[in-house]
Amino acid sequence: MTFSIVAFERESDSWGVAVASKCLAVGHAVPWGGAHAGAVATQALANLSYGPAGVALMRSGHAATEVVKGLVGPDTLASQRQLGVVDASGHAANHTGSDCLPWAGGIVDGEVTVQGNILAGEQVVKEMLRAYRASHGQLFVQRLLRALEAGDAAGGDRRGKQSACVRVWREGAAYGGGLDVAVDLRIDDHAEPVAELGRLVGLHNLYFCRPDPKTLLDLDPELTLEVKEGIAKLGYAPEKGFREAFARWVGTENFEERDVPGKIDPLVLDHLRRQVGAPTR
Amino acid sequence: MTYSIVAVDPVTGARGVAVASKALCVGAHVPWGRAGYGALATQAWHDLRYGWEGLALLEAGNSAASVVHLLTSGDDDAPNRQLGIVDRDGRCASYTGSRCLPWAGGMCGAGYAVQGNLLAGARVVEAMAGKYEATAGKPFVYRLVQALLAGDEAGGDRRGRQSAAVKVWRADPDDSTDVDVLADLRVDDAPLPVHRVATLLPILWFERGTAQPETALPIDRPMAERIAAALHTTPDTAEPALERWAGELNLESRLLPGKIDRTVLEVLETGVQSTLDRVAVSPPAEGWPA
Repeated sequence: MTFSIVAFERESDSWGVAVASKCLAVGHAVPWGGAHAGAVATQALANLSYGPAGVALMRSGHAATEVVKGLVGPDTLASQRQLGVVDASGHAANHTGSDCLPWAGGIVDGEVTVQGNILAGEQVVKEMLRAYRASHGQLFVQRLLRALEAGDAAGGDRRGKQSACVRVWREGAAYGGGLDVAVDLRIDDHAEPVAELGRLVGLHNLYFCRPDPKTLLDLDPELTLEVKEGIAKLGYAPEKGFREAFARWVGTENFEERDVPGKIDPLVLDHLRRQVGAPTR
Repeated sequence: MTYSIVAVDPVTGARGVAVASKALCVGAHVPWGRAGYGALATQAWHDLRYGWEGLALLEAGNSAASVVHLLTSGDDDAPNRQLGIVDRDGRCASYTGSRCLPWAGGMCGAGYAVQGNLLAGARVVEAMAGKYEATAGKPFVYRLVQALLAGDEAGGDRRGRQSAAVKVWRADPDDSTDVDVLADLRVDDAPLPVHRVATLLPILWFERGTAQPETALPIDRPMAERIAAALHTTPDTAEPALERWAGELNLESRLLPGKIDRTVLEVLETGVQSTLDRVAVSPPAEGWPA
């Protein structure tokens, strides 16, 4: 029914879950976590209380294996549950109940656990782990996505595709710094949910990551003219000058994080070119 | 930038938020709630602290109006913020800071608050309120989405469309050991996000709906034969085969021991798509998760 990866990445001090399933809005049910607590994926006959309870246990210092035992032990439906857990110090554990529908199982590897049920086969979780390891050096959210893509390519949920989600927790990460949710993106119902989630991750990085100073382009007269004409075509005429019209377009598109006076981020330029139907370069 | 409705279901006491915006994944930031205590929407130049601090204040028993006061007093950026709140007793409050970008504002009615900023005009929130009231008696999650659709049709966010969400929390905090969210749908980036959320409602009803024991049919011998025929099995193994089939279709929540829910029978004999199409055209009164 569902395949997921739960991981801790030491380099970015982040915890994350990525998950896909043939069910509506898998992101509503499966992924739970908190910075410096840990992360949980609860699935199969998902006991949603495993999520907040597991995170609370880890926040009070319990290790991943203790959390799995503590949650599954007293549960009369344990044989139908599946969960993956990574704790505050990056230890991983998982559980696949003996009555989960085949193929069902998981792998713990260091600070990562991959698991799934009703899958095309064991290759799904193996490929997820391989892809996660192989993507070392990419952004954490991209590595989680690579794992989902690999699971999808290896056959994924044998019933089909419907929804996907990726969530990352990092201290003080969110918009305004007031919360630990760094990424929270969902596709609730789509023919290709994992590919669509990848598109959202690209948008998320566009909106919320700062531009790479090395790639910024000078707004020279030629580029200024192109941008000016482009935004004018979209209804942002330079009534009070180019800068004012450009600022209005930037505000509408939520690109404030990438706006640098006198320059333009090439990713922002590509977005504008796509909007006006000009070829991206 | 954003328009939302925060409301309490007069029938069940569940609380919900529906929201739309020209911003990526508005459903990840704006709606907050806790079963039995209340729900809120924090938007405009939103501060996520308003979310969890607001919930803590609601849990401590503060009224919606005093939560607005407690959050905004001492916040230098309060003029840039916007809030809608429904509290434990179903009282509502809507707050719009004086520097929210026009059109910005909100209003409260019986059991609901609607608010928005960077809107096409006051008509957006007026249309939301009007639609919410006009759909009284319909399922709560359906009413919330209808209100959002009315806001969209009235011009919505004047910058355009990108994402929408609806979320509903159960009425009673001690009702269950499971988590407290009854419905949670998000469309994070789409050309017509509110309409997309509306098209997810039949699937929500299908997969997360509840069995109707009063109208369910007993699995007697003739029914076991019907089930067996549909599932290509023998009548003696009809019930376990039904359970397995329902599990694969995410219909577990509609299973009843010794009985078959009428929706399950319909899906079994006419298929998933025909059932979804029927629900899209004519939303059932019963069986919604929220």
